[in-house]
Amino acid sequence: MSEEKFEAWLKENADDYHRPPTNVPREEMWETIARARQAQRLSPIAERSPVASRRSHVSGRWSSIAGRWPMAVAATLLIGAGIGLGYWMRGPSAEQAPVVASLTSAADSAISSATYDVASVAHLTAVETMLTSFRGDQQTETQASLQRLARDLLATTRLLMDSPAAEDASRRQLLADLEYVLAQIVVLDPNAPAEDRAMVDRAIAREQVLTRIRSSIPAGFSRGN
Amino acid sequence: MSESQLVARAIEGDQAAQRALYDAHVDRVYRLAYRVAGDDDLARDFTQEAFIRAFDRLPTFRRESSFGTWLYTIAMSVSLNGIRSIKRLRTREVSIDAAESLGKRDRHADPDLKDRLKRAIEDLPPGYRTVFLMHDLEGYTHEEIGEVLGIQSGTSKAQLFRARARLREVLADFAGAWSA
Repeated sequence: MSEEKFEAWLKENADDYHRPPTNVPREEMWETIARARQAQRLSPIAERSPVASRRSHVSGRWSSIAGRWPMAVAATLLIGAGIGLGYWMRGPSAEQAPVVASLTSAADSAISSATYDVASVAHLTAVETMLTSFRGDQQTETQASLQRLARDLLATTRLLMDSPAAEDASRRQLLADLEYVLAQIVVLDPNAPAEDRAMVDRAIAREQVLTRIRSSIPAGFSRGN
Repeated sequence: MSESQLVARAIEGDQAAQRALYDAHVDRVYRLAYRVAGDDDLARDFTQEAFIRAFDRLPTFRRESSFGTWLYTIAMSVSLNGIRSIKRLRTREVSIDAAESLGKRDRHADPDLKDRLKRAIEDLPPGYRTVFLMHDLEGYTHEEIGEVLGIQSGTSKAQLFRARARLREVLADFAGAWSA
């Protein structure tokens, strides 16, 4: 009898534990699912790695992060090299070059803009991975590796800030905030007390950096995994 | 149209059929995910991921169980793996918080039943907690739980029994509430 009473009491009281809301956000979730599946069909990268690609649509906060940041190293080096090459090809006097209005230059401009968009998104993805790893893993060895990565990402962030990628006001602001956060990580002593790390964490949270990065990464962009 | 026909059409890429399957099961999947995660954003993520995976893998669905059971299996796998990753990431933060509050918390000094119950459920071993959530809170039968989690229904019963016993022990302070 006592057992039955306990079970009844338990069910009644435990029902509040992680009680789901009454209204399920059906439409919003369906939109995300449909977008993700459409992107899969359109993107050859997604076809090669459907799971990795899909994760970018569903925030990915929970997906395995530890294995991804080495890929971010490769990504940031690639992006940095790409942007640097762009600067070199454009040359120092590009700003003084006469403007020739033609279909060709308009097309070039569109391609260039798209290229910077892709570079920005790839960079933001790498930063997101690094920041998530930074917040989640406090082992000294890992932190040292993350700091090296942060230094590379900081350099790329600055290159992007000086590039057409920063013409968009919200992206420019995001890059500026990233520069601030990354700079703090770069100068952080790996053996620093927890309070110093907490300051960086608070900066990340205060500026809502991760949320803003995620909302800047369009559906369909593969973060790799 | 029967669920079997919907599945067949969904495999062929019929979006209306996919949507119909989604509508039929999304509430249950979301509820499960929410019970595991306790957070709306995560529950949405897990639900979305579960459906995306399910639609991807639909051609491999062998109809040995109902579509619902098969889908809930995917949903639970996504949710449990997801929450495990999150907990791994948060372990350090939590341990710092716990260390700070150490000594301040007296077992008998916490009068809040809800908090104590919440902590007790969270402290259950993952297998016990999952069965407890599915059976006592979401109303799944042991047979359904067995299919979804890939365990025997007897194992599900045993885990529920142990989960309740552990909760009863931990919540002994409140014995008056249920024996009255």
